[in-house]
Amino acid sequence: MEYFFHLATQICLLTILAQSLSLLAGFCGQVSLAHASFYAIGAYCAAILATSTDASFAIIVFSALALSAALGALLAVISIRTVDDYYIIITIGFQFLIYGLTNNWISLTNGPNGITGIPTLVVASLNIETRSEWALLCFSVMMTVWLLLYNLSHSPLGQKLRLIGQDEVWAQAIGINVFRYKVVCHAVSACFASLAGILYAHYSGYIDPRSFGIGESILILSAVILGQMRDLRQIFLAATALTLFPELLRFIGIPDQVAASLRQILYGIFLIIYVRLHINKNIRVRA
Amino acid sequence: MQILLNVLHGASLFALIALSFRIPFLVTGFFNIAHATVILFGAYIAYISGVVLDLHWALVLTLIVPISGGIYNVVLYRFFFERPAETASAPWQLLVLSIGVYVLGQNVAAIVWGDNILIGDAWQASSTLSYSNHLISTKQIALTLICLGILFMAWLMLQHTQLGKKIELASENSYLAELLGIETRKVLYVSVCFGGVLANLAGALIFLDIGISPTSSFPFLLNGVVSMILGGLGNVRYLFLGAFTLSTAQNLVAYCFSSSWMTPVTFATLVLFLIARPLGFSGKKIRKTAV
Repeated sequence: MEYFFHLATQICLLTILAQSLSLLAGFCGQVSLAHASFYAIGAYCAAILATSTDASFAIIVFSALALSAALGALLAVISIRTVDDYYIIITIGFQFLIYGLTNNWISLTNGPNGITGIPTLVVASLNIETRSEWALLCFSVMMTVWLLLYNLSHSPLGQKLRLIGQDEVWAQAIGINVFRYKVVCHAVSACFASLAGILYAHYSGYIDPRSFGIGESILILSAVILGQMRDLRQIFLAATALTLFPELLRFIGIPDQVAASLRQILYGIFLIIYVRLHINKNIRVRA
Repeated sequence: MQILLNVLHGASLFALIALSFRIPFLVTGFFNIAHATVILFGAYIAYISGVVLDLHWALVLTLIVPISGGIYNVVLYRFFFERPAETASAPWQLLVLSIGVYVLGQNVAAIVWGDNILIGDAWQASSTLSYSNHLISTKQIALTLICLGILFMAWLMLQHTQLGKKIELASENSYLAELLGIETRKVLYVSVCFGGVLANLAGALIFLDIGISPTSSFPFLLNGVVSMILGGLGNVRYLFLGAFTLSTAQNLVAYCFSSSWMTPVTFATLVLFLIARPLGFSGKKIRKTAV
């Protein structure tokens, strides 16, 4: 049962990450490969504050979200002149920058050795220790994020983001401040990703840079694409499939060294098949 | 002196990768991340030919690697990208597809060859030259000269042949090129083939220099792409200027701080350029840097 609660936690975390990216990629039309970097920022912020200071959970969350929002806005400002492929290259660059910082800034992040001994979470005087408690917490956070994003997508802000995603020039022409909304979208998306990072850091008790590389960003983007970019329910199903399907490899008896590569091959094949099947449908969702 | 040689060595390699990426990119119109698998393929072909089969390196570098690279890239494009490229509504869809192809290719290589770094043994025992109290590796000089030679020949082909002119015309406006009687489909495949040749050669040179592992081609591709963006998409000579700028920034950071900061500084350089000079050195306007 512990194993299933662990999988449930992984599914919830990936869903939070993918749904937050869908705000950027699905609504605003900004396909980003930097999402794992905000995941990393949340995780490292939580880990550093939890292990080095006596900061409360509220302060940890506030600090991580504020830092992620600021860096998300910065990414938006830097990439504002770019579209399509150039924008994606900028986000890949940002991803590598954050990875480089977490890997090389040894005095702060402990470099490739990572940060150990991250204490467990205390929420409203409750110690979240067992796998079942973590699964319940992550599920609650996932549903909250889901509800927030659903309301956001059906709000006037969501409509404006959709318009920007469809045609930026036209949106600008009808009076929508495209720059401002893009910055807001990047900041909000980064905040949600950071939240997932905070949960992950406290759940695992140990983090290192390898957990937040470009592969993770590709996985998150895969979940968004397979979830048809904007459909939050489909994204949840895609995150579930991407988490559970490779776990089947464990039961087939494939060696661990090969299993990791096979898992990546499966992600690659999913992406190829899905994009090829849906490419002339614009991979944009029904409203 | 060593730093200068390192800069030149890096710049020539980045320029070669950038050129191999640029030629098909201009005609196809999308960033093909799967190009990293072509570099990887070149490295492994060099390993199999030169180390496993123990063929002469002159034969490997002049025939086996280029021919296999051209064929591989054409097959890759035809199998994965030809149909989607005709129907895609946005270039980022093809880029995402190419990421899937890259992940597939890289992990197949990891399963076949493992994650260890394979090194070209024949080139490891290289001699050194002594110059003004500096020791310079002859291997580095040789690889740099080979790289520059390949670049020069590629530049001659692009600037002074009919084929090069056709590639340029097709990349500017494929419809107009068709009207002028240029078979754009044939030009597309020639440019894909030519890009594959250059990328395969780059992969072979990387293998001879530092060895290869399944994950090592992607950072080189990104360096090439950043060099291309820094240089802009105008004349090819600006591409070398972009590569030189990037290599200088990387080597200065490695000299002053640590080599582990080379990758972050690559993208810091890109960000600075996109803020200060988004059209690169050449200043040629393209859709992707103007909204």
